[in-house]
Amino acid sequence: MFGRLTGVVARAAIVGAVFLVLAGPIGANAQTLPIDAFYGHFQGSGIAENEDSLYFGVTVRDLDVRIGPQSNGFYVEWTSVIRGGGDPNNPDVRKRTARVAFSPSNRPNVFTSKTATNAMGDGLIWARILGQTLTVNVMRVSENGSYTVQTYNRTISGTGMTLKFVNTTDGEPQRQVEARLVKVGN
Amino acid sequence: MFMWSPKSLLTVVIVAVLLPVSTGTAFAAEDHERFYGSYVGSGTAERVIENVTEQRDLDVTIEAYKNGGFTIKWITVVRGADGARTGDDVKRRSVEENFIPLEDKEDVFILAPKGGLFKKAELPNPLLGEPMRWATLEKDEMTVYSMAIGDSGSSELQVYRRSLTEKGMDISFLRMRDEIVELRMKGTLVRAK
Repeated sequence: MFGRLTGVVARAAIVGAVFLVLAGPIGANAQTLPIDAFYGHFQGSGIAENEDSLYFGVTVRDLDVRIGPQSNGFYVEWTSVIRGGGDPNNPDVRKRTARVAFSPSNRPNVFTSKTATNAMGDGLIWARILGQTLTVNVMRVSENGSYTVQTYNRTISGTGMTLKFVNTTDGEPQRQVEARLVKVGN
Repeated sequence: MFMWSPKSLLTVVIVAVLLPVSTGTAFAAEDHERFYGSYVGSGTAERVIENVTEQRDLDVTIEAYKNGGFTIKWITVVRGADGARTGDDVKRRSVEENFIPLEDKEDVFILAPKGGLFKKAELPNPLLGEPMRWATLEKDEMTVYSMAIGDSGSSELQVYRRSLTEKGMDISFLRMRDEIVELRMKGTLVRAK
């Protein structure tokens, strides 16, 4: 009986060890993924929240993201369809699309946009990969000198991608969107 | 009949050419002259991630700098764990920075170049590892911003706001790494001169 139990325990230990080995790379010290791991067409929905959300409701955003190779780097194209605000029975619908091309910088896993390199002018856009997350930052300094940073954290998961967007103005997070996207194409 | 002499014409032309420049500089200077002075006080800093609160002594001096700019000097003394100012764990930081007006943005200032009188003031590029610092004026608030991008692509942002009050100055400071606030500080200072 003990021999059978020992066998079960041993098998459980082996399964556990295999699980730990497999789970290891997904943990906090996950190996940084290459950019092509993020390539694809992703779609999903998210909820936008701000400090007033509890009282004034939230807006729903349909999100569409395409990431693919371009020249010696890659591009990210994202579209948000925002439903919310206005008449509750006929909410306003707005659509926003942006596309940015990135090139490798002289730092590993950090990429820059050639068209937005001046925070005081057109803005400063850069991307970096840390673990399973591709982060795109868009920073702008306004006419009066205050600044806004929009941060898009896109983390690869089993079936697609999770997106966490934070809009920060003068050091205070203003608006946040969390969304789950499914990979619908390459 | 009045006739322009060559000398008076030359004077008029020189005044006409110089007037818009000197007027602009005078307006820019007036905006920050109200902040000139020395201020002393204290504040409370919260290191958010470690959940640690510290008492800090603060000393700020703002004075005129060339080309319509201004100089900010500040000393921060982080008191020891027991709140005293004499222990081995007391930390002192002293900074002096000169800001000059940015050409195309009113009431926005950038750090004066350190490379000599004739070096052109250029905006640093944080993507090349150069921290960018700038200052803004709006009514009774002077705000100094700092932005740096580290080797891994993470950003560090600082916002240091100084607001004039009846007795002196209120300050608030925050430091963020990426979108996480790491440090917040609030303090009250009185005008010493």
